[in-house]
Amino acid sequence: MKVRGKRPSKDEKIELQMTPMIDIVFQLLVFFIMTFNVVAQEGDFNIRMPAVGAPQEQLEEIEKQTLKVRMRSNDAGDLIELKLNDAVLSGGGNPFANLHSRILSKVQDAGGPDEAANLLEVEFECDYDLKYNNVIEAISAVSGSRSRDSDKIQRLIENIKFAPPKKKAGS
Amino acid sequence: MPKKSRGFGAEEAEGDLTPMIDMTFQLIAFFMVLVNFTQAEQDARVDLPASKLAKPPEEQQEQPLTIQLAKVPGSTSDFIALVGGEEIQVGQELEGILQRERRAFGRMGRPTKSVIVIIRAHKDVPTGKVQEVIEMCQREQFERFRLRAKEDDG
Repeated sequence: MKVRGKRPSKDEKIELQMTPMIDIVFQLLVFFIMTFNVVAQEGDFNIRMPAVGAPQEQLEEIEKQTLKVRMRSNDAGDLIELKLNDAVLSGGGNPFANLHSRILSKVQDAGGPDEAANLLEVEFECDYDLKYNNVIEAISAVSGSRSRDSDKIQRLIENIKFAPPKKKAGS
Repeated sequence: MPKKSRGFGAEEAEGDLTPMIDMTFQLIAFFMVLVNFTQAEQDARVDLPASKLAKPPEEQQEQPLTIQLAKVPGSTSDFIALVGGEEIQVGQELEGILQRERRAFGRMGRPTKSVIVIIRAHKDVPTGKVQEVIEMCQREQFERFRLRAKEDDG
């Protein structure tokens, strides 16, 4: 450090002490490397589940058409059947892609996503053992889609509810 | 870096530290910008299901209630609930905690109808388990639920 009032002569070389700074800098670097972890972005799906004994607001709403999605599973929790109302969608191909295209046509019939928001709702009826990721895939298929080239999300039906849970077989 | 010379005291070789310090500061800046301390609600035992539609909410949620359903390590079929750092079984224990949370929100002047319940469930949790949790929350007058998923880039 330069000392005020004392001018160095031409031959005198002032050297900064770099060691403490490098020590601290490396400590900071190690701290940030240790605490760093890449976390995937998370998002939420809204579901409408009015509390028990609170049906007053529902009466004021316009009667909505309920599309019933039924998902059956085997004992391991894997999806074995997916139905929209009475139509079986798990016969061939990706059942969730089939569900998405059916929902898309229903929304188009209703006049678009804004109209569908007032007219349509989806109720999920699932087996107890069904693995939860199937439900999220089905909710994604019903809620909309994201185009590959742009980040834009096309919304479909966001009024989602669950049918009362089915009790576990044998309990 | 001073290097001891043999024999000739006047000779001194010094390494140039500037590029190393430049790089180190850049690395520190990179990690500082990306560091994320808001992981209180995350648990390594919860592997969320992936969805292409899962995008972070744009508005900040006013103190939600987060319930996590995590996989018990080493087990394929056992799951536990995590609420505010407490590990509990889905059943009477969870009911007790929900009642306590309801009273706590009440003391803060927030009716349970306005409280958002975020459910972070492991992808392999039986759906019936998630529905049981929702049903318990409903009994405590919670109405607004959000099912959390992680973003799927593939």
